[in-house]
Amino acid sequence: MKIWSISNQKGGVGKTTSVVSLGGLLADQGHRVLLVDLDPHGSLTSYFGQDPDGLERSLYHLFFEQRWRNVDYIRDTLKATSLPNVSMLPATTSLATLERQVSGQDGMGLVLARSLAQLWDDYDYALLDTPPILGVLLVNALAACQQLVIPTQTEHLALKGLERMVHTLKMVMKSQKRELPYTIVPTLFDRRTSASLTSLKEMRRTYQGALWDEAIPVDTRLRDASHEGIFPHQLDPNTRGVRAYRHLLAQLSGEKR
Amino acid sequence: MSGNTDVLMGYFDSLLTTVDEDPRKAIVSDLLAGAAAQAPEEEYKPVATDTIALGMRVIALKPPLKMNAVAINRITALRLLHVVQTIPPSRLKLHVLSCCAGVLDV
Repeated sequence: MKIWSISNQKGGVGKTTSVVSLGGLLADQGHRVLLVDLDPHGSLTSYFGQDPDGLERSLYHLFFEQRWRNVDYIRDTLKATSLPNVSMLPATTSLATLERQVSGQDGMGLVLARSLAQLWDDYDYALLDTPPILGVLLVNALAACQQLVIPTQTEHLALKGLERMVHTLKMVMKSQKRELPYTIVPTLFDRRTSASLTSLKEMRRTYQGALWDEAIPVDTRLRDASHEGIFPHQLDPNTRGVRAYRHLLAQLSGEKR
Repeated sequence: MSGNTDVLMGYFDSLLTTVDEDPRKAIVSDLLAGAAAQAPEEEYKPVATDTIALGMRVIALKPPLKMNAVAINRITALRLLHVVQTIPPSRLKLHVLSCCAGVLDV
């Protein structure tokens, strides 16, 4: 299983859209994909028609009573999506209380890694949709993944969030004593605005080696797909956004270097 | 390292430290893992309820059905005493301590 975390400590940068788009395209290539919602807001969970306030089981429950050891429990927690070879580990709003409940307990940053280890042969890819705040859930994602994707909106304030995310990543790598490759992905790019052009230029100057050399454009079809609860490529395989994500996928999976 | 970074590094180290790194904890962890899925027995329920906020739960360990049961019970009690050191003062702590005292004939 390959595990990619889609993370940024700023909200509204396109994390969930990236998870869904990349996951759908991987499934389209025939891979078995698991999408994991670590955000208490449950955007990914809602995307596929589940209610984060109403579910009886979610990622939250794996943190207690060592349920992460129980592969049957984990499998029973998964939900279906609009594609047969894509499943989702949903979030519930109770995840917002996790920080308080597990504080002081050693090893709580490794629950997701251990849960995914139980599903190692069930899926080819796991994509993690993380909350935009630094806490036990984001640490779980960073500890579990083998590659980090940092979607960053092409606007000035997002650059501060990016700086913070890279700083966090370096500390986690130091704590774990391992290197974690990361790719910064400019998102919501609108070539008609000077804010987009200026901030993209700034990203290229500051993060040269880690920055993807293209950008995900603003595309209303991506929003339409979320409204329908289907993967963007199911709605339109040739929309600008889907084409850009296809290029990104080629880069991330090593087909294009 | 700035004060802020120092605090965050402590936080990450705490979250990313596995129990397996401490062999004493690993032994106890393995010992309890098999019993973790069981529902708490009736007599433990009040204590178990008390400890939910601590993220802990009372698990009734079954007496081993072996010839050297007394020795194993004593070893188990000693291992539990290692764990109970990490629990803040509470009814759970008192309960575990009194159970261990009984096994060890203190």
